[in-house]
Amino acid sequence: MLTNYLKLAFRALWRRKFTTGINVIGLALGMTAFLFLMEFASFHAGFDSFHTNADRLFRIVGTTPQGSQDNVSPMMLAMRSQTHGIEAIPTFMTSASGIITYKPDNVSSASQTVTFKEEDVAYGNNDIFRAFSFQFLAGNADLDKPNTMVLTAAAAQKYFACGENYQSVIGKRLLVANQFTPTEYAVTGVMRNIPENSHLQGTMLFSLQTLANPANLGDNSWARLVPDNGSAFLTAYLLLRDGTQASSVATQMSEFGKKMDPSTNITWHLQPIRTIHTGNGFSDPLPNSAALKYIVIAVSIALFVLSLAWINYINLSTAFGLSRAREIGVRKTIGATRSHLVLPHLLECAMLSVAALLLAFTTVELLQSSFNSLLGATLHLGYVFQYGIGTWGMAAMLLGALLSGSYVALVLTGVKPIVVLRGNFIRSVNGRSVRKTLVVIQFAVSIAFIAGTLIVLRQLNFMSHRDLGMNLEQLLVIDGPQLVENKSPGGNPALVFKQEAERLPFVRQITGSQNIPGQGYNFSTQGIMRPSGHSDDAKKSYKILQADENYFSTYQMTFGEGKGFQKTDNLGGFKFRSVVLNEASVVQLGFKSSSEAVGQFIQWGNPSEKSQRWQICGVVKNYHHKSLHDAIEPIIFLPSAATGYFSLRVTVENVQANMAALEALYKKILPGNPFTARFADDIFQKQYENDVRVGNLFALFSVMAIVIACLGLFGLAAFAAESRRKEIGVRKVLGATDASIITLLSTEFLKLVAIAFLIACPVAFWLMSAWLQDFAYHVELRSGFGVLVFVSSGIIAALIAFITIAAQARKTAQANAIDSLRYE
Amino acid sequence: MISLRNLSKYYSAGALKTFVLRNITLDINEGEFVSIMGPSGSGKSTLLHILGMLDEASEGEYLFLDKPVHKLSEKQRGELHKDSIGFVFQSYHLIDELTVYENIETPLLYQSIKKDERKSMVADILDRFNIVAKKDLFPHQLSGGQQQLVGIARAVIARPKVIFADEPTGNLNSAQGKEIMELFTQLNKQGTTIVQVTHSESNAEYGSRIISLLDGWLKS
Ligand SMILES: Nc1ncnc2c1ncn2[C@@H]1O[C@H](COP(=O)(O)OP(=O)(O)OP(=O)(O)O)[C@@H](O)[C@H]1O
Ligand SMILES: [Mg+2]
Repeated sequence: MLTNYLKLAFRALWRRKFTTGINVIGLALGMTAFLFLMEFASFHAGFDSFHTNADRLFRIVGTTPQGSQDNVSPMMLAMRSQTHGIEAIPTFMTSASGIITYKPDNVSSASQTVTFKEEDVAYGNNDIFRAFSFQFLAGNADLDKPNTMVLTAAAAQKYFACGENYQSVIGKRLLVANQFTPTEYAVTGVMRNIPENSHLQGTMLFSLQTLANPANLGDNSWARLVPDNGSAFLTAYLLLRDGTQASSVATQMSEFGKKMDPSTNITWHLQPIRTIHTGNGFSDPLPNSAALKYIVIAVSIALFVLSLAWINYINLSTAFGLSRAREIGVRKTIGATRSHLVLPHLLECAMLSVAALLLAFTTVELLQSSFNSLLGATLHLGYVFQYGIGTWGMAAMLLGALLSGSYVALVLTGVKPIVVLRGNFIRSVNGRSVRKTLVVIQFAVSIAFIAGTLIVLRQLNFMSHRDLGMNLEQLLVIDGPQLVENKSPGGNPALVFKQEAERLPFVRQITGSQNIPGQGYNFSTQGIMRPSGHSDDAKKSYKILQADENYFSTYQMTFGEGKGFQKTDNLGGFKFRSVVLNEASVVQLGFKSSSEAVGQFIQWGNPSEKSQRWQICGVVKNYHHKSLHDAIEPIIFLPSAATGYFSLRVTVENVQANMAALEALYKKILPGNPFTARFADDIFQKQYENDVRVGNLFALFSVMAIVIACLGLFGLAAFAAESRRKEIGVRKVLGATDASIITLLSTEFLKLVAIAFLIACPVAFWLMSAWLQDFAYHVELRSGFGVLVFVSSGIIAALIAFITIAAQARKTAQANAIDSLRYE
Repeated sequence: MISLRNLSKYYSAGALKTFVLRNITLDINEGEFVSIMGPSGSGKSTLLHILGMLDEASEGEYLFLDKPVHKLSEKQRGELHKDSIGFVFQSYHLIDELTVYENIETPLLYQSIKKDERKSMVADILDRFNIVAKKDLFPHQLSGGQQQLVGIARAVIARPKVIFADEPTGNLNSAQGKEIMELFTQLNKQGTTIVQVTHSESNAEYGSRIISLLDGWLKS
């Protein structure tokens, strides 16, 4: 019986190639989107699950009434001896960026050395490898000994160019120069690259034990690894023994903390490592990456897109199924029961689904890399099957198939035989209004997505064309040196480099600053006010940027009033004769205008100390130091011989050669420092990386939504044309033109698109307004532009819908009238 | 076996009722061979559809094997279709997707008859109706008369207790028509009740009783 059914189902699908094709393509599209989104959701939901001990691993986190912190002190970690149930305490410490150098033993020439600047340098203990599941490719971890290190395959290749021969790396030494005393570390193990779905990331880990030797600490006495050191600079985890209650350990820790420091208001918690990325619910008070939000959004969109595809299936099957109603009626009269009839339909649905799923898997495989680059991630199908949420996703897909298959089967097999057999079934079978509703939903979604895409693109365009108040073109940014010998004879070599670079013919201007536009400031602070200010003013926050006197002219900023400072305005010891403000600072300080501000004084700290007063020498017009996400903040510029970054205005020609010349100069004057040069506009645009991705995703899903919707519409239009063949034939005999028939057939559907438009507009308006709130400077939706966006989204959808329908209608309209009539 | 009491059928359009069958009272016993006659539009097909439980009466009572039909569930009616009733449609109503062979086999599938037995039963019928050569063709490849034959074959193959046939010979030549009538007579002799609608006096003669319909009224 089953083979019989299978054969019949296959034959039925094959006979209706047109609908089958549309169904498979529509479903496959929906499933493709679904799989991509499930990859994304599973990737995030599966964070840190790869550790075999994940259930017993916790991060130590403290909360105070003010907030939370994930750092602990060596003093707190001394509780280990007094607490039961702890198997290991993996402990990390990160220092600021450092220069890491590999000097081969046997070659003396400097050209053989490999040097990189590493943003984070991490230290750790050997418990890390007892607790977490990091795998080794060669050697092993031995971090409880000083001067040892492990690195990942990627780092091994980067520093030692070892290819796959990781064994060769064991025993090699790297020199680390950062805030601590420069120290050498020997490699004892090479581990696999850390999986991307790990909240712990990094490529190198140095033994924390090394810093237990005070000689290696330099002047960082805060980092002493002794039990009486109460400064919290470590990130620590606990591997609990089987059966140990995390809450009881946390309580013991809090009690221990109270004992060590009765004034403390810190409560300690053990955060399950799997919740570090997702958060434990939406309002987890413990620090986390709040990825749950993205998981929920992705899963919702995934289910939504999938239901769009199933809606299509339902629509088409019930519409075209009417032509099968006669068959069902006949079968009923010869004794078929409901289950006899439902089963073949479910089988058909299953076959369609399997075909669509196979097609979807193929598409996902083919488009994976493009999708990944759109998203800036490296996802793969494996994630879907690896973690729970993916399994649920697949279950949802199955359920969708079952539900829509059953619905279709029930609708079709519910017809009364006589109604069908009498031949006037088309008008009497219900489900028309259901199908119309479904088409409206699909088009509403499509229109909303189109509008969303247009708005995101417009916002991106707005951001890239907005006058930033400075000129980032042909501006090169070179990272300042980390390693400088203070007592070099020619003075600070970083400043020497700046002077020398300025003499290069292609360098028009150069400036040194401690930070750069598109990246950040030195720091932000409170307590700056006018001598006449209120005490409340001390609570206002200002951004501080230290830069040399050429900063403003190199970035081509304009002064509203006054002028920039001189080199000599820096009096040393954080004392300044004059400073520059931006207009936002002028407003926040309470000056009526820039001209009123120039010549006035501001002070930081104790008002009575005259020496802490700074005179305002100029007000630079507001410029966008950060992306358009952020409002322009009050900035105070302090004169400084800054060498954190050098920004160079260069000529357009010979960029390659010029770059090489700069690098040679840099390497000559600042040996041992890696040379990194970037263009200022790239740095600035990088802030919009995520926004561009959002735009890409929007565009992608718009296309998907509209294609799915059009497939459905195409099918329905085909059905409508088919079921009105006779009417059209008669009309043509009576003299109707093709155009009038196309209009006749299109109007009905275009009405649906119009209703969809009315639904989509407010929803899209609301959602996109929320999205735009993320930008301090954004396009205005309550404007001509907004109207234009929505109207054009509607027109685009209507146009696509019209083309889809007209293609069908034309075929019917041009068919020979006599053929249509005789066919009946 | 079949018993109608004051049965009426009407279609209502707004307040207006169009009667198709009026106040029909009729008994048909097991083993009878009844012919229904009447001019076009007099309600013959409608009556047959109601008898075959494809349609429902608007008023009155219909007892099939002493069971009130309007009280049967859809499932019970399905069972009756499966086991007791064979129906021949005026417009054939074959299943387009199935071959001649499969069309005839379908009722047996629903009765869960074993494959081998099915095979021999279908072969037998094909042989009897002289359509063995057509067994792998699809309905649209057949002439009207051939489709009619397949429709009859499908109705009789499962050996129902009663066969309702709506102008079974309407599209057949007189020789074929005669054969079908003889087949019906033979089945009737073996105990099958037969109710046929026909325009042809000579075909009606095969039956044991003739019922005439005029404008929905039973004329006796
Ligand atoms: N759905 C309907 N609504 C209104 N009237 C209907 C409907 N179906 C059938 N009729 C009417 O019922 C009457 C009887 O139809 P029926 O098909 O039973 O006639 P018939 O005796 O079988 O005719 P023929 O010999 O032409 O087959 C006809 O007048 C027809 O117009
Ligand atoms: Mg009739």
